[in-house]
Amino acid sequence: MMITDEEIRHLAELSSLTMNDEELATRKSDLEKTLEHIDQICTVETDGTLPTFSVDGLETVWRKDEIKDEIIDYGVTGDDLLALRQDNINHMTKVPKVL
Amino acid sequence: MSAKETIIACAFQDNFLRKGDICSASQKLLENFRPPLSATAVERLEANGITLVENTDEASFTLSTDTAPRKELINIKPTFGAISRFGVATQTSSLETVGCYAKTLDSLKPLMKIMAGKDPKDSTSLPENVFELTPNPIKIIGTLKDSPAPSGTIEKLKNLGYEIHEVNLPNAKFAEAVREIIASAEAIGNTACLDGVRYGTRASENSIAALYGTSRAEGLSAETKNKILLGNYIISHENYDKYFLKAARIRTLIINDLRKVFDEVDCLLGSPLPALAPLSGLPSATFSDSLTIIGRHKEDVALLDLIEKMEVK
Repeated sequence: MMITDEEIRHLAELSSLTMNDEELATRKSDLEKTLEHIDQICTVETDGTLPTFSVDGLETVWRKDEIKDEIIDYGVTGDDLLALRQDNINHMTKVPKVL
Repeated sequence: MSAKETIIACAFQDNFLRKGDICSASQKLLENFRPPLSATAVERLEANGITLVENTDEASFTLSTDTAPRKELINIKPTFGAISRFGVATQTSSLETVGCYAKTLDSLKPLMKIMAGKDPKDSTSLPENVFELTPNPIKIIGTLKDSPAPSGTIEKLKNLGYEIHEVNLPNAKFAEAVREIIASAEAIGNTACLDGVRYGTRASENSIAALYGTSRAEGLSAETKNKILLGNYIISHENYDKYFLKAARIRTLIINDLRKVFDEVDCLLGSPLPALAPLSGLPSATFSDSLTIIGRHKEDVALLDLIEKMEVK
């Protein structure tokens, strides 16, 4: 399976990975090798078979939107999370201009 | 004797969070990341007085979400959801389970029992502690023609009184490829938070897009980048049906094959049986010589009872 230079550049962009030409060439070669390996599944007859996305046996159920007495304590506060960065201003994390 | 008295020490791989300790999850981006919370599995061990050590050589057990065979160690992967994954940096939501590499079978059951059980912080954790359930003892063991277990092991099991049946899993040969596809697709979402904004090493860039791109390119491992690129390729509009949906359908075929087999046998023995247990969520034990035993859903104790009887290391 061949991947074009244009395709690997597009995939890198979708993946938010800024890579130089040398690394792009390595990643492209690795991807081609993997596709060669996984291509074997294309011959399997699966018509009428439902896909499996999870094996936890849980089903989505609707419940009433009501406040429960029990609040899950994740053991972490907003301040704990903000403290993971040094460059905060007024309880906000500073990032380069977005708009 | 309590678990605390018998378990010497326990280590954990670097994708388990422990409050204040560096947790890099094998990514340069997280090389200085000190989490503000601990994984539930780690917390439960500490609460039960288990000594946690950094060096895996000093530990009898090493917590892991990996299932690959390792020299002189037994890998135990419990039923999917048996142990909470809260606080564990997993790349694949539907495949990874908190298990461990064990140097010894002594104290393994109490160790797993401490970690298992419902955790409100992980909605995929099972409501019951599967290591407290009364096991249905294994009597009939299935072996595969295409992936035969060593003849010595089969003889040993026959001598122990187990009945051996040869069974067939026609789609098992696709399991590794299916796992690779599903793991890559799931890795995209699970690594999206590694962007240099919330935590971890941040590249010095003037635009937010360049900050994401450079932080990730410099901070993620080659293996993770390959996974993300493959994931984006297979879930693209052109390839979604061909690869991702196809893999999810073959996963169903593999699970159906296993269901049929477990109508006849109590566990499955093969060498090797890569990816089958992660894809189906069934419990497994893998030995350093690649011998894998897969048990029934939630019959983790029966599986551990069997390997104790086999006395294989």
